[in-house]
Amino acid sequence: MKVVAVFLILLSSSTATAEGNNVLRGYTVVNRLVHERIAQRNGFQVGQYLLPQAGSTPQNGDLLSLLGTYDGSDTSAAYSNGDPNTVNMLLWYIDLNMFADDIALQCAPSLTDEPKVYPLKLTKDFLAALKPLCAWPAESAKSDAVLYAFWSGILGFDAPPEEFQAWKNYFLTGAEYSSASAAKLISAMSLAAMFNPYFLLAN
Amino acid sequence: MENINRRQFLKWGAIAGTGAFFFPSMVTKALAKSAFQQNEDPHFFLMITMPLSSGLDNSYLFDARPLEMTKNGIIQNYRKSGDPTPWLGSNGISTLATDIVKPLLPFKSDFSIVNGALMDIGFDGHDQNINFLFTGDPFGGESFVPTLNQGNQSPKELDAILRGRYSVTQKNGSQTVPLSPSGAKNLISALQRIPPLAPQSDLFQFLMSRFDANSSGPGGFSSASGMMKNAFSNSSHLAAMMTQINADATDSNESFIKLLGQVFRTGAAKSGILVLDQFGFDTHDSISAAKQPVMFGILMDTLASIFASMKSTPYDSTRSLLDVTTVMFCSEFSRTLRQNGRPIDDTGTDHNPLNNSILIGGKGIRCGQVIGSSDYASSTETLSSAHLLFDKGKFKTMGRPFDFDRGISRTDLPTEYKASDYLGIGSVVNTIQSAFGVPQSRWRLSERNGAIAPVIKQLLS
Repeated sequence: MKVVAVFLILLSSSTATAEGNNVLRGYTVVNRLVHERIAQRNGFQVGQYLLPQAGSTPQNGDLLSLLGTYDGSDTSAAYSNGDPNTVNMLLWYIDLNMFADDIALQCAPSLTDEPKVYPLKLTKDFLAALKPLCAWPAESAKSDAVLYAFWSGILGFDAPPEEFQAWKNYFLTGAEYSSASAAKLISAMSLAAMFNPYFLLAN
Repeated sequence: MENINRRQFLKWGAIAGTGAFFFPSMVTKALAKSAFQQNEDPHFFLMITMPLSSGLDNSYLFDARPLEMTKNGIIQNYRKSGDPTPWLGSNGISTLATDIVKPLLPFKSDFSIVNGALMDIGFDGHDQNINFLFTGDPFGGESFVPTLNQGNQSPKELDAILRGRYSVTQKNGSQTVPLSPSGAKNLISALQRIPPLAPQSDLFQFLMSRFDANSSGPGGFSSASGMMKNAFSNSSHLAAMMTQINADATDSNESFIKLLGQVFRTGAAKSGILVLDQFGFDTHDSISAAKQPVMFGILMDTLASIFASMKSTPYDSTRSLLDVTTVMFCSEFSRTLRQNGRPIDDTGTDHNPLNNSILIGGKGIRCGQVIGSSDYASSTETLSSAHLLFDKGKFKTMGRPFDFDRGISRTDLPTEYKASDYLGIGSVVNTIQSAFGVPQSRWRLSERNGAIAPVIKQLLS
């Protein structure tokens, strides 16, 4: 009984983890989700927009470590910077904003852009979900099926239906987007989905 | 169209005319807030501390012991020669100091020394005492540093920016963020690659609405969603302030001080925490203990360079960063005099939370003083029963009882330990909180269920 009690005390005093508590999922988990759902691996990292030089490797102390990360080793390892704060929210916004732009530009690949070491290449499934949206503002792009395919392509089944409804209504009824270009719409849609708490928070 | 940058197309070309050019108004708002803050008497805080698993043997610095104690086998001393000499405070009280502290002499009037401060007398572990230093609880809680942002001035966006590894179990740490100079430079660079955040825009409001909708429940997810909402609502303001900062690409203490000056000037943060993690003073064995004179010399040079940087970094046209910042330097505890069973010339030291020395200076502090002292200052000194209660083997020094009304150590020998008789770290923290106008409801108690730890009013200017 004493052993069990000690074990429970140790469990209760252990450090918060990204997966199990009310904190940001952290960079590693979000990057993994992006690879699973949106982007092919081939060198692309979702945090590359925050790195000082394209193609550089994240180092300890880089901005990526402020997005929620494990620090230390062995028994001293702890999840740090996982509480949402002004800086990590700003960093996520910057990073996902640029990532959302790159998603949108998959509809218009002819536009010029700065060369990238690891350009974004969408997964087959996500590209299939995106393509119908490229017809926006045509009515064909505004069906529930098209919108839900794109939404769930990013969020999977992590968010409740109300979140999809709120997202859909915002883009279908808002004056700014109902007749906007596809590029503008998809960039904003992507950002709004990825900046949702069900995407960024450990749930 | 072929020559248009893709990002410009998305963010600027496509939305021109829709009211997206909010940046000038955002900067104006930030500057207006800065101007409002400049009407206040600026007051900031810098905590300089050591990494976990440190603990300074203050006897190599201030609160030193005479060599006769080493000759009599009581305290290790790898300096081996040169008796410490009195460092006379402006309040007429002196402490013994070794010549290792010489680099701090030019700054003697910029700080006061607090000796004999008790840490967590119930635990001698690193974690418990660093937690106790910051939170008043050996197992962690609310750190006092963020509370300084809840004093009598308008709150800043961030409670503190941090350089170095910081291991405190802290409930109120969400607005204490690591931001090295190079990190700040990268952040500013990244900010310049996107259109500024526009809080008035529909999209910004929609993002906020999702945080809001998910923050009303009782669970942890709701709590975190609420934190996202608060943090994101402040992020546009922080972004505007960051664009005014010119950060250094190198990550030295000096460049952090320069960054801190700019961060304070823009009103982005109330405090800085600088962890000097190039040092390790956990000198349990004789080999590492023998390195102390050299290591303490480097530490004193480092502290002197920090004071010099703070004096040379302008806050505005008339004041330096040091003029507007309260500075505190402290580790988690002091060290024992020696290890049990080891010869005095081949011994390390252990943890001693019964004593600590703290440097505190800058704005709001009456500098140049020596406050408090510790016992076991000579081989023949009789130790109090209160001391022996914690240290039967006489391996430790202990803070002397303290007269808070007169601001001097007492000479009596208490027969039992009463927290109210001693100068504890809680009193040092409350003194700082008092200087920042933090409500007394946030102040430390002298012990669990005890009275509020008294302020050291002689330290306040």
